[in-house]
Amino acid sequence: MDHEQVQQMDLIDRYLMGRLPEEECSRFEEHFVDCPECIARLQSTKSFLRDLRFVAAENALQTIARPSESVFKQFFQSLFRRPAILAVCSIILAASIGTVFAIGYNQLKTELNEAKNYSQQLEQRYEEERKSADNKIQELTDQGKRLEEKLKSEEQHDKEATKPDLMARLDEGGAAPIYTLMSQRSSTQNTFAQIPLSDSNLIFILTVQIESELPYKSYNLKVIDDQQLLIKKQEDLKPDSASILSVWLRTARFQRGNYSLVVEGVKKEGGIDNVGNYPFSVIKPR
Amino acid sequence: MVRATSETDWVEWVRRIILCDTDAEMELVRRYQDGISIIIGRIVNNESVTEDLSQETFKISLEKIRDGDVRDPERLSGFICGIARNLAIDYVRKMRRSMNQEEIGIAEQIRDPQPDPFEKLWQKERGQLVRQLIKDLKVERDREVLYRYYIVEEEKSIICADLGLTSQQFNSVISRALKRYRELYLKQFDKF
Repeated sequence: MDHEQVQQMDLIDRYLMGRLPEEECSRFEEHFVDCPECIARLQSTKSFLRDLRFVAAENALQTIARPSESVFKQFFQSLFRRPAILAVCSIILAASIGTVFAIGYNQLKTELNEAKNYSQQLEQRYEEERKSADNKIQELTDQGKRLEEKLKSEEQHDKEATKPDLMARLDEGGAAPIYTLMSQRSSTQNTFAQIPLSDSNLIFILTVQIESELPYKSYNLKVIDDQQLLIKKQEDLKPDSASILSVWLRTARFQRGNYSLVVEGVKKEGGIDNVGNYPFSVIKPR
Repeated sequence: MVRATSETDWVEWVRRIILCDTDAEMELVRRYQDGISIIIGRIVNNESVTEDLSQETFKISLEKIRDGDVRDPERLSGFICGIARNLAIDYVRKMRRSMNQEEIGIAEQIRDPQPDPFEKLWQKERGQLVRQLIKDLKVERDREVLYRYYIVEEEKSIICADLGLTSQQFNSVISRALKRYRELYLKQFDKF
């Protein structure tokens, strides 16, 4: 695929408006995912589409709310410029006002119907996209199942493997700082662990040590902010040979402030226990 | 920096990732993150979820590359696209299932999906750019082309037939509007 094809077949517009057949869509994605020029055009076109639709929706709402004034204004202005005619035309004026109101009403009705049609078109498009998404899901169900089975066997393989996991490799390469958190229960002082972050590190890693004797089949890790809003959740984790759980996080998701890492244990018989709470405070340069 | 433009470079790049070369791994993320965001964003239509699924895509991709799952290094782009697409569709399927079963406690529903005040203000400012652009269009026909193509989503051939435009003239209208939008946007906000 080259850029002349992209241009001639309007691939960018058709892709963003969901009009490309699936096979063509996949081929285009394989091309643009590694093409800075196409990505730049996709981003700007997507942004333009979003903003244009926002303005069109705003205009549709404003048009319904506001009646037209231009006809009234022109009629009265023409009468006042000719005072002699004003007296003679008083009866005609009354009839004209009535006519203008009728015209204004019809205009409003037309604009309301146009807004309703637009709304119906949006609903229709939503329905079409929903059906299209359902079809995609149906087609990829088997593939998804195979992927899940493969992921499960890979997790099993990871348990038995001797090579270090992703987190340790990143640590060896020096690309991501690692911080170990202490549980609030086990900390002698009720303070937050200080985590200095720099935007030069794309990610950082948090680790916690859990008791090796705990009777859980797996663990969930949740990172929440001081408003109790969820930043990241990772499920079905197993501790390594040193009973350490770890999670990697994107530096850009964190502002200066207090956070907490919550560890939950998933029981073999079902149900979840709160195993520990690990508060930390992010420090970033101003 | 890795720039894989020939068969040898693709093979070398994958080999370096298998050997846990951090530079090669980080280059993978830098090179594909924008494209992967577009692919996932188009399916899930949620910025925060797109970011999470993008991270997951790279995590899984790196693991699979190290496990030797990439048989043809030149098809690396397609390999990563496939993982991203599957994760996005899997997410949508999971959300539909949970909505059908009325499970309120799912983590992704904790965040308010409505735009926050900052987002609303930013949206309004972007709307002003579009109004300025439409105002700058001297020809009513150009406004009609934009409205019918992007809002009503009529086929290009039908619009051209109605308005007596050739395909090149149509493309020229769209191209001018996009170019003007980019100029106004970059002047206001510096980058997309």
